[in-house]
Amino acid sequence: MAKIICIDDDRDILDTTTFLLKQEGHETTTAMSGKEGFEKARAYNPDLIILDVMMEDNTAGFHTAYNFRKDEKLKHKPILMLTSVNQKLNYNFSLAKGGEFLPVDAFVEKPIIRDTLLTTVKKLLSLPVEEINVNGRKK
Amino acid sequence: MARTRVKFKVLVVDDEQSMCFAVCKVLNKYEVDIPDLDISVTYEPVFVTNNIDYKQKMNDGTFDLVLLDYKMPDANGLELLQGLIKNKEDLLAIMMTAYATFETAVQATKLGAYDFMAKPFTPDELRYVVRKATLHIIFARKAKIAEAEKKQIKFESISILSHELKSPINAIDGYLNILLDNDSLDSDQRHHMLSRCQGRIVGMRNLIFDLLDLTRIESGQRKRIFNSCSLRNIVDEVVEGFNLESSQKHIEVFSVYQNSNDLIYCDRTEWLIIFNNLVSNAIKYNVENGTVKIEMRDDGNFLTIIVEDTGIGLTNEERERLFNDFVRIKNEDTAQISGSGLGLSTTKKLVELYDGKINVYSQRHHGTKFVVSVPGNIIYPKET
Repeated sequence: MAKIICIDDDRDILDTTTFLLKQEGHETTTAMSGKEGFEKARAYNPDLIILDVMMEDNTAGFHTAYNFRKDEKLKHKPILMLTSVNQKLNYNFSLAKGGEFLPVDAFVEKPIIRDTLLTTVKKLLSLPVEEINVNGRKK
Repeated sequence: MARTRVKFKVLVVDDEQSMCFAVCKVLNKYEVDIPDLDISVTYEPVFVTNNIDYKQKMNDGTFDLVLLDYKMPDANGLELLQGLIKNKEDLLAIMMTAYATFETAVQATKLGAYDFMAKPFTPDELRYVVRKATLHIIFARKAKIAEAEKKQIKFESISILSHELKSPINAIDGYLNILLDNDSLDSDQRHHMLSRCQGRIVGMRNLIFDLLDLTRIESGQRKRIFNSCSLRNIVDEVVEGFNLESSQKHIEVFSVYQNSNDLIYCDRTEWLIIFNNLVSNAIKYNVENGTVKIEMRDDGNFLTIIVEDTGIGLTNEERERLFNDFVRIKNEDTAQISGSGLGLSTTKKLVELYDGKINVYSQRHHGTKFVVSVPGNIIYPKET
């Protein structure tokens, strides 16, 4: 099916997410930091990027998303961002307000529910390139 | 230390202009010293003689202190007082009156006046009453700030804690959902997922215990007991506590003492915690057949303690975050290692209680060295 890279500093989230994706027939690879994820993605050339908001620090997820959008090879890959309940309220990072300016294509809240994850993944994989949120725009 | 200079804005309200001049003259030259807080207060008095000017002045600015005449032709001192109290102005009001009776004093106080002066009063009496009110305002404001800071810290701690607990709860939830949805998982997979759930639960428990320790230390609730303690005893006790873990990985732990006198004057529990966290990390993040070296020396000026391991080391970026609360270094080499992320931040806080410093030197895959440096006055003088 599709090649998906999962980037999250929690190995158990990586385990459970990749289990669900593999069950659905996808191929997966993982990384535990924004930096590692970016480098691995350049080599792996995924069809979809799943990215956690908080990794080694509060803004690692945002910075990684921005880095993907600046990379010629990866800028048009759909990005699914994993968030925690009420996470948006806890940020000082002003660009996170309502996720309006984040250059990602969907948010999925943890705890991850199988159907929600798989439906969102399916939706993002079928997004035409013109609809990928490369520049960050108001919802 | 530089004294903080505070200027109090004072409004004098009296229909007798000569009274206003007199009061302002005294207050312009008055200074109140508060050595406990390193603050000195001076005054910027202005006056009004009628209600219209009073309203104007109150509109234009804020005052710290208001001296109110009880009876004026166009205004009732008590009504003005009620107005001030009703608007919850951050100031104190002092009533002045020629019609000084016990009843009027009580009435004014009940309505919210801080103090009361019977006319005619001497400059000394004025200074005395103003000084009392000044001290009250300064201390009340300090208390308010301290209360707000306490609330902020409490809010931040609870936010951090709830975030730290969310992660293991989400992880366990993920595994349980898969286990419940899938009857056909093979037993290895089931076992792995259930073990991981247990692992995260252990992590949560450790987090709660470590956090309780930390808050007890930080809030000063733990009573510190100082004694002369032997570093050798403390280190031996800590190392012995890790015998199982170190033998499992075939790690040799040894200590080197450069001075014969190893006595320090300290709270023994605090130094047990300091060494426990450093030695625990040195073993947890070490490789098979690795070593941990604990070195101690005092050069008279400083007591230096070095805990060095041959473990997986840290990148520059990991080193920079290391001493923050709840930081756990996560990479392929640390996937099996558990911890609350509070060990090193607690150690740092304890070392700082002794005016000491802690630094870390490390390179990824090339081991890690922690250096604790404490002023020499911790060393227990040897009997001569």
